Amino acid sequence: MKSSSRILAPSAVFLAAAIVFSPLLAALLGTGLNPHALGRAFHTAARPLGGSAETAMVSALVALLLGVPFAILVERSRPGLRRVFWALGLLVLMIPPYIVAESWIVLLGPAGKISRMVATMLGFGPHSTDPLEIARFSVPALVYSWPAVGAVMGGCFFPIVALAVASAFRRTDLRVFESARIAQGKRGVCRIAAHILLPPAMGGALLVFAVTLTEFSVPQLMRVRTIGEAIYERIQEGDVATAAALGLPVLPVVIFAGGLGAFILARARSASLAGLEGEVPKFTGPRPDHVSDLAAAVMTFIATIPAFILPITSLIWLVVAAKLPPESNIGSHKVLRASGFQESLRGAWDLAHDDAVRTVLLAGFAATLAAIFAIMLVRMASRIRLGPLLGTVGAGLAVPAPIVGLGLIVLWNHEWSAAVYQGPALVLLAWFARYLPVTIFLVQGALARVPKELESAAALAGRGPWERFAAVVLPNAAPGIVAAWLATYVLSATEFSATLLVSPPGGPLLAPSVVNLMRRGQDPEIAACQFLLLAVIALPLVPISVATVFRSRTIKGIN
Amino acid sequence: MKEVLRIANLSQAFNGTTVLHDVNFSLAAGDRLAVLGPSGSGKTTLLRLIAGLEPPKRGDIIINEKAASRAGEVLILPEHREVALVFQGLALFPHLCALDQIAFAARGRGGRESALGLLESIGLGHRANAPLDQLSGGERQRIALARALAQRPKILLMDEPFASLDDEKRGEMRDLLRSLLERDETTLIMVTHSRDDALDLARRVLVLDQGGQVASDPLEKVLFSPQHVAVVRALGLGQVIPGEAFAPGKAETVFGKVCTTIGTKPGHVRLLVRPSQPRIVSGLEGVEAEVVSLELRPSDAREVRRVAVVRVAGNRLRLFVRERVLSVGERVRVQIEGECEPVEG
Repeated sequence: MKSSSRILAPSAVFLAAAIVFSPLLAALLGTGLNPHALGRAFHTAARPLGGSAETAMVSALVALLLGVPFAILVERSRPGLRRVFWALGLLVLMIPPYIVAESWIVLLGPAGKISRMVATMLGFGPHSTDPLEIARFSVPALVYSWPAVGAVMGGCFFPIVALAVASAFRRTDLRVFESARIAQGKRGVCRIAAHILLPPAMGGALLVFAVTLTEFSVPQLMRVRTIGEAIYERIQEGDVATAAALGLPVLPVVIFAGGLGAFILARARSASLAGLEGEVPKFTGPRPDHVSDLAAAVMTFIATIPAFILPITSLIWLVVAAKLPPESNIGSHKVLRASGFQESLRGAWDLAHDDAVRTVLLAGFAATLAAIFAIMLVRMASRIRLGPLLGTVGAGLAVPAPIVGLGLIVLWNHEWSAAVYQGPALVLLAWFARYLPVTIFLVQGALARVPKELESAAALAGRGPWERFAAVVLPNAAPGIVAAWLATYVLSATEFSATLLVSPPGGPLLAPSVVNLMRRGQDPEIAACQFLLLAVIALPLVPISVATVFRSRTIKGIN
Repeated sequence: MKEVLRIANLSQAFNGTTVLHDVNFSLAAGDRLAVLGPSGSGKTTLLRLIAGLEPPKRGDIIINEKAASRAGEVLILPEHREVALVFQGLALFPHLCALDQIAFAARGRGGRESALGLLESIGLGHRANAPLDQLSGGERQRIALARALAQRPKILLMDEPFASLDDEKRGEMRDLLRSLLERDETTLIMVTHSRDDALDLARRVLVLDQGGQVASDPLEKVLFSPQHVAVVRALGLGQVIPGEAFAPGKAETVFGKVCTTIGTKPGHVRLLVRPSQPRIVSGLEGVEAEVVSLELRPSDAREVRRVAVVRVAGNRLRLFVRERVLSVGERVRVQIEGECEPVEG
């Protein structure tokens, strides 16, 4: 077994690296990249790179401001409520940032429902009853700015910081704070708290910074020029060499930020993004009271406003309450029509149900394939101590999505590979290139949390390698593996930037279709399409929840 | 008796650091060996090597007259060795209830019926369906033990199995283990820091010090004539003081002249002073010492005795206070009575 692992494991690591990095290499080598294109790219990269950096910094700051208090307050609430608060907090991660951005525009934009209402209440509103004047009234476009993009991204990704901080908090014996208080008073408590919580918070914030740097759809919707948009523009113009060159300056920055974040989290030891379970110290502080629960509830509400409450409010408002006058249909796009709740949903279903079904099947298949591959890869790699090498695959997350799409087109747009290029396989490759590192990282965490002694005990009880895996490792790693599957499914189903470039003709997927529709304006049916996308994302939660509820604590059938 | 285990020149190293060096011993069916030694002396590594969980760097492990491991190779996989291991952390499966923990190991050896019987025999029949997180520390210990015995192993390995139990529970567990071992003639190798566990269960003792084997003898021999300082410390047999042997059976120490065994060679020696040997004496006998502290120590499970720590020229000695009440700082005269055995190390 071990000797076969010696050959298979490096081959599997190589395959993973090839899947993740081949689009980047193809984009750099196969687009005719030359000094002239490089010069042109570097000359024009400063502004978009600045935009990316500014939005990334704000997003990291917002994620810190929301994530740290959320983690601390929720961890201090009662266990039952804690689960509810965490469920709400983690739901934020399932809502695509571009839907959040759209809701900000709808509610807080120049003609936003909330911004106009607030402006009117403050006395800046239209003082006339003339409908035309009311329609023309707009508030300053604060939403179309880099701080707003940062706020959206920070709101979407604050759970990354919260998970890291909560993990450190949970694994800390709270008596250390009491001993610090006895020794140095409140100053001592602050010092110890900073020592324990600062590294995971900073590590998480750096990851958010890295993720935001390569984001494309949100800045595009909010009209902020970033490097992702600049690359996409060049691709649309057909200047693929400059597009590939534009990806170069952002790569080292993202790899450095993401790598530093991961390094800090790894060094903090107590923190882990892979999950909240783990060794919990016996002393977990005084019992939470109503004040703790209330504080946690308020913080959950505040933290979920930007990326959960606002988008859901906006979508519900659009779908249920928007009644466009019939005359507004004249000359408008065919999907724009007056409708109520049921009409909107029916219209959205007519419009996009093929895309939705295709997305569910393809994303489900991709997630399953990625999870199985990641399990085999991590198991084999850990046998011959190649586990740490897998971390390098994580650098693939730094490649901007349009570059992934471009690279795959360059790589597979040949006569001999027409079957791949014209079919859904190219979409699968794009999703693997983007999200296989995430699957590997989560599966690695899930398997690492199963103590090696359990497997040794099973071996001594006479069980072979496969039986040990099936009867001991899999049941204990199942929650983490399901989380890895779910993360891959959600990320794939909502992927927009690369999917847009590689979707086969005649087989559109839901995320690019929805984003394209969103660009057409505010409409009940388009909002219902966004609901459809959220339903596609939430679909696996139903069987997972049912399985969790009915999962027997004792797994029979072993004997 | 048939030999079930032979360890020959066994060595192990991790990252260039030797953790086990040239260990040799053999055990027959039904033998019970206690492995003692300070932390980091290679005790757990020895168990893992015997279980086949890792290959040795050098040496051989022969189980039931078959080569099980040799340098760099595990020849018989753990699942085929007929060896069970009770891990220090117990390694119970978090997803299984009490009965299934045992049934897991009893497959092909009586299955659930046999597991239920074992569960009854450890007094936990009523907890068969209890999930792991509802079991107390003592119940978990018993289940870990039952799981190991459910394999009907030829050799049972235990790594500090009772470390987290109080004295009363430890006693109960030792009685239970002894009865189960005697029933099946199982060979036991038990790593422990507890002298009571070793005295109660073992017939032989292996003492490791810095990875090396300093004793592998029957319990009686180790108790009555320990050869190494590590053995004295591991079994708490007394104190070791330095001295200078100047004549056959005589040695000079800071606590005065003492008698030694006849065979003691002249020169620098280390002498074992048993707890009953030092005494406070009156008049001009012995040497003058300062009482540094007073303690209460149980000499065994039933009796608590006063102990004084005295100091002579920086050397400390503990002695039972028999006759009088002492106070800290008081100067007394002490003498070591009887014969002191020389020890190495």
